[in-house]
Order: sequence, then structure tokens, then C-alpha cells
Amino acid sequence: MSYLSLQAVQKTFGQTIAVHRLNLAIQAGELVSLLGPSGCGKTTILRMIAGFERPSEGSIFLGDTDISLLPTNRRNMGMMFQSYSLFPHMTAAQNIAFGLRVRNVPQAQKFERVQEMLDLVGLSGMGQRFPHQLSGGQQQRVALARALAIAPKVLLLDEPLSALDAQVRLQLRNEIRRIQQQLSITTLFVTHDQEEALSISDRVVVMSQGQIDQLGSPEDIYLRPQTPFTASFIGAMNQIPGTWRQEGVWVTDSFEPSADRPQTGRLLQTQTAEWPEGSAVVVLVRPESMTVLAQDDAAVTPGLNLLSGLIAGRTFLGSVSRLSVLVGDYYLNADVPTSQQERFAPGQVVQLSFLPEQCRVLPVGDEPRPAGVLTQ
Amino acid sequence: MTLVAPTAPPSVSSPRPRLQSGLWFWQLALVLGLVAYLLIPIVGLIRFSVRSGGELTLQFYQEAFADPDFYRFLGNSLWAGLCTILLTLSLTTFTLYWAYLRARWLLPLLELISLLPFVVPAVTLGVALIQVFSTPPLALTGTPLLLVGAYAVVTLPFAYRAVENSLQGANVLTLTEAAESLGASWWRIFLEVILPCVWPGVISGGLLVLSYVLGEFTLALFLVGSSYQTFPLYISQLFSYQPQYSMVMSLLSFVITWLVAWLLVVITRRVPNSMQ
Repeated sequence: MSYLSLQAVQKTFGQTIAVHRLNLAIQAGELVSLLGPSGCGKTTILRMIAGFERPSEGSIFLGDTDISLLPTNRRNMGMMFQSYSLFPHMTAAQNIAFGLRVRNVPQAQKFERVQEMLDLVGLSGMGQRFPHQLSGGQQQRVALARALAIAPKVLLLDEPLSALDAQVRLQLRNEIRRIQQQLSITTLFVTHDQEEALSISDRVVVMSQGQIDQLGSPEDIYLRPQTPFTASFIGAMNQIPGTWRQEGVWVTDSFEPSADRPQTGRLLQTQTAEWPEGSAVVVLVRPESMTVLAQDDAAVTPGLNLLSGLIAGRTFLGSVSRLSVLVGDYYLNADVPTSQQERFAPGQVVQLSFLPEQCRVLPVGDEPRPAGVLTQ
Repeated sequence: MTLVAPTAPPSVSSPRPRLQSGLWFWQLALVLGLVAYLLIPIVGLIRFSVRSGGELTLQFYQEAFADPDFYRFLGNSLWAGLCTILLTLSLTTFTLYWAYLRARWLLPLLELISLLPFVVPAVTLGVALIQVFSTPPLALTGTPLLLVGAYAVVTLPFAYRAVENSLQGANVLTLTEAAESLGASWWRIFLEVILPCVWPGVISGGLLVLSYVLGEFTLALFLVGSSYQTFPLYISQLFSYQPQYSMVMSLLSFVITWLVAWLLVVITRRVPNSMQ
């Protein structure tokens, strides 16, 4: 039986459906991330679990207890907020002790617990500092300690790292994961940062328009996206529309063939799939899965997909450079190591090669997609 | 060999432009003028209060401190002031906190309501209140209860602005939710988390209310008159037959307002710490 479960939970604000009949089961000790763009309903779910919002329909269970209507202050859930939420007139130690004071914990025990929490988040000796005397990262550590001090049944993290700078964010993210594993505390982490979600979660829930788009391990989400939305939301992904055939996916070169410009195309070899013959599909290939070859380098390797195109642009991304290559009417992105970027310049004709195993094929759903190739 | 004509060393600081020094003079003149504008009446008051028949004397001060009415009417004013502070600030703070949490859309309307007392003259308000509260079952004319109620209305803009500024600066919603998630009840959140955060606003609101009430004359005259004589009413009464004595009282009223304000700040500064 799952530890925390949402059963057909729906939340509406006026005419807007923020969360649409959502089912989710979380096991004890698990860290699950809710990942999605702004307005997808992830924070609303967290707020319903915390008790700040009531579900319009459905139920939330903690173990076998229905907590849907239980007031927030009786749920015993620790929460960390996006904005700094420390009580400004209290020291770090007083902030951490607040929940214990509410529970009438004896003074000695309270003191001991506060010290333990300060040690846990690496702020020993800083208990007497006021929030304004702490950096953003330290304030969020205190907020984490405060949430953990009450030994909550579930830890709820609402984009706690988004206000921090990149380096501190990375450090604190690892700290949160370490502490979560050390305490084996069931945790729900809301974020719009895919890297954050993939790096610290046991499972990731990708959300779109109030619904779960895909739920799985970080590896599943990244390597085996089940929908075009997840594919485009997680990392960069080339999406090539085509038609499913027994021998592969037929991809046309242009959107609008005319009398003087007849339709041409090619067959792409992909992962095996079972789709009806002639159905509309989309081929998904990540930029890092593509190998860019200068025209002279190109050697025909049987079984390898090969597309010829013109480099339209080049973006420096640090360890790699991303080339935007015009293939027919489509722009495809392909990564080359930065050490090789000088070999490829805009205006140059290149070949893109990629293995069939790296081409995932999904049927085209009802969701609207911009024409052409979607890249992130 | 080329000879180079010696040049003057670059000056360390360039001379202040003429325009700037002129500006500085006018700024100083403006500040001094303002100080003089505020101080001259008080100096005049002091001078007038210590002279009798061309000689310096503290006779009027001695008489004032020996006058039981001085303490009685000052007490009336202070009591009305404290009750008004309590009423206005509780109403304002609770209402604004609730609006910040649950009905932010109501804030512009509340702001508009808070400004209404500015457009209603004290005389109009006084006469209107007499009309409404002079017959049973609400025959409150002449009672301090009606006076405090009227003061609560007219001091609303001061209290509202001060508390609202503090609430705006505090992240009220997140702080409330954080405390709630830690198990705190609504009262505990209000007293231990929110109130200390808005305390500076509450103090300054209280001071503004108090100084208004200690100097208010029109409403007191209309609503209570001699049945609950306040300090400004007493000073006005003295002025007609003992002008010098009334000068002393005015001066004392000024000093007492400052003292009470200072005392209020000292006392209230300690309260948030003791709450923790």
C-alpha cells in the first residue's frame, strides 16, 4: 500500500481546471519530483497535500487516513517555500524551535533537537543569527531544518532552490537529497528545473495542463519519453514528423510540395514499434545522439540514418556547441564537442548520422504542435 | 634636447560650480526657515508663559501642577487616546491581515474607505453623530464611548496607512502558511509571527492616533462637551478668562504628548521580544 496517495483529485479555480482527476501514489521514503512548466498544476497539488487548498473532487490519503479535509496545522507535514519564509524577528534557532514550541516539547529536548537540526544542515554555531544575517542558501537551510525538526510525515518542497544562485542551488540540492536519504523521509519536490528533478529524484512526475504526462524514473523520463510533450520538455529533442511504415518512418523533405518542387523524402530506420501502417508519427532524436560529419568525412555505413543539410547557426554551450542544420524544410539540432566546433561553420554542407536505436517513434497525439521540427 | 615648458600640476579638486554653491545656500535657508517656522510659536509660548508684569516667573506652572482639573482632563484625553488606539489598531490590523490572506481584491476598496474621513469635516461628522446617537436605544451623546467611536473613524487613515505599509513589507501569506504547516493555530500565528512583523507600523500608527486625539477639539466639543471634558476643551475654556494659564497648559500638552509618545515607543519595543 502506498504511503501518500491522491485519488481522482481535481481542483478548479472558477472555470479553470488546475488539476484534472489526478491519481498518484507515493511510497514511504521516496523522493518524487513534480516537474512541469508554469501553470501545469504542480504547486496546486503540493498545496492540496499541505492543506492550503482543498480538492474540489477526489481524496488525499496518508496511509489509510483520508486527510483531504484535515486542517493544515494538524497534518504534520514539513514545508519549504520558494520565497524565504523564516520568521524575521526570530533567530535561526528560534525559527527551528517554533514547531517544537507549538507541540510543547520540553526545553531540554527542544534545545537538543535544534542543535541536531543545525548540525544536520551544516549550520552549527549559527543558531543565534537572525535571518537578515544569513545568506539566501543559509536561510533555506534553516527553513529545511525548521521543517524537519517536527519530524514530519511528509516533506513538501515548493521550488525551494529557485531563488538561489546556480552554485548554491547545486550544493543545496545535493544536501537535500543526502538528508532525505539519511532520514528516509517521504518527500515531494516541486520544480520546473528538469536537471534538478532528474538529479535528485527516485521518480519524476512530468505534468502538463493539470494532468500527469509521464511518471517514471529519471532514466525512463529522459531516455524513454512516452509523449511528445515529455520528449520536448525534458532536455533538447529533435522531433521529425513522418509516416509509419513496416520498413521504417517515411519523412518528407518539405511541408508544401508544389508542381515545380515535387515532394521528396527518405526512410528513417528507428527503434522497433507497433503502429498501424500509414499512421502519423514523430521521430524523436536528441542532439547529442547525432554525429555531424563534414561532407568529405561521410562514409556510407549500412543501417545508419544519414541526412544531408546546411549549417544555419552555431551556439556555444560550454562543453558542446549546438549546430542548427537545415535539412529540407526542417531545422535539426546536433551537438559537436567544443574542441571540434571550428570544423563546422554556418553555410557549410554537413551530414547528420544517427543510429536507429536512438530514434524513438511516438504516434502524433491530438495536442497541437508547431509546424516543423520542435527543438528545445 | 627638447625643453618642455613646466605645466601646472593638475588640481586635486575642481572648484565647486557657482550654481551648486547657490543651491546649497538656498537649501540651508529652507531648512532654517522650516525650523524657525516650527520653533518660533513654541518659543513665543514659553516666553509668554514665564512672564508676569514684566518679570520672569514660574507661578503659572506651579498653579497648573496644583490644579486638580489639569490631571482630570488630561487623564480624560489620555484615556480616550488609549481606547482609540486599541479600537482603531485592532480593527485595522485584523481587517488588513484578513484581506491580505483571503481577499486581496478587497484592498483597493479598503484603502478608499480609509481615506473617507479626510473628506468629511469634523463639524459635519460631529453634527451627524449627534443626530444618530441622541435618541434611545443608542443615546450615546455626551458619553466617552461615542467620542472614542468617532475618534476611531477619523484616525482610520493614519492607522490604516501605517499598518498597511508594514504588512506590505512582510511576506504575510508565506509566513502564515509556514507557521500553519508547523502546527500553529490562527491566534498563535497572529500573535507570535504576524504582529511582531508589523509592530513598527502598529507603533507609528498608535503614535499618530494618540497625537491626533490629544489635540482634537471639534469632535470633543460637539459630542461630549462638558460631560467628559478633554484637555483641549479645558485649554480653550481657560483661554477666555486666563490666557496666560492656558498658554502653560498648551505647552504642557505639547510636552506631555511627546513624553507619552516616547514612553509608548519604549514600552512597545519590548513587547515583541517578550512574545517569543
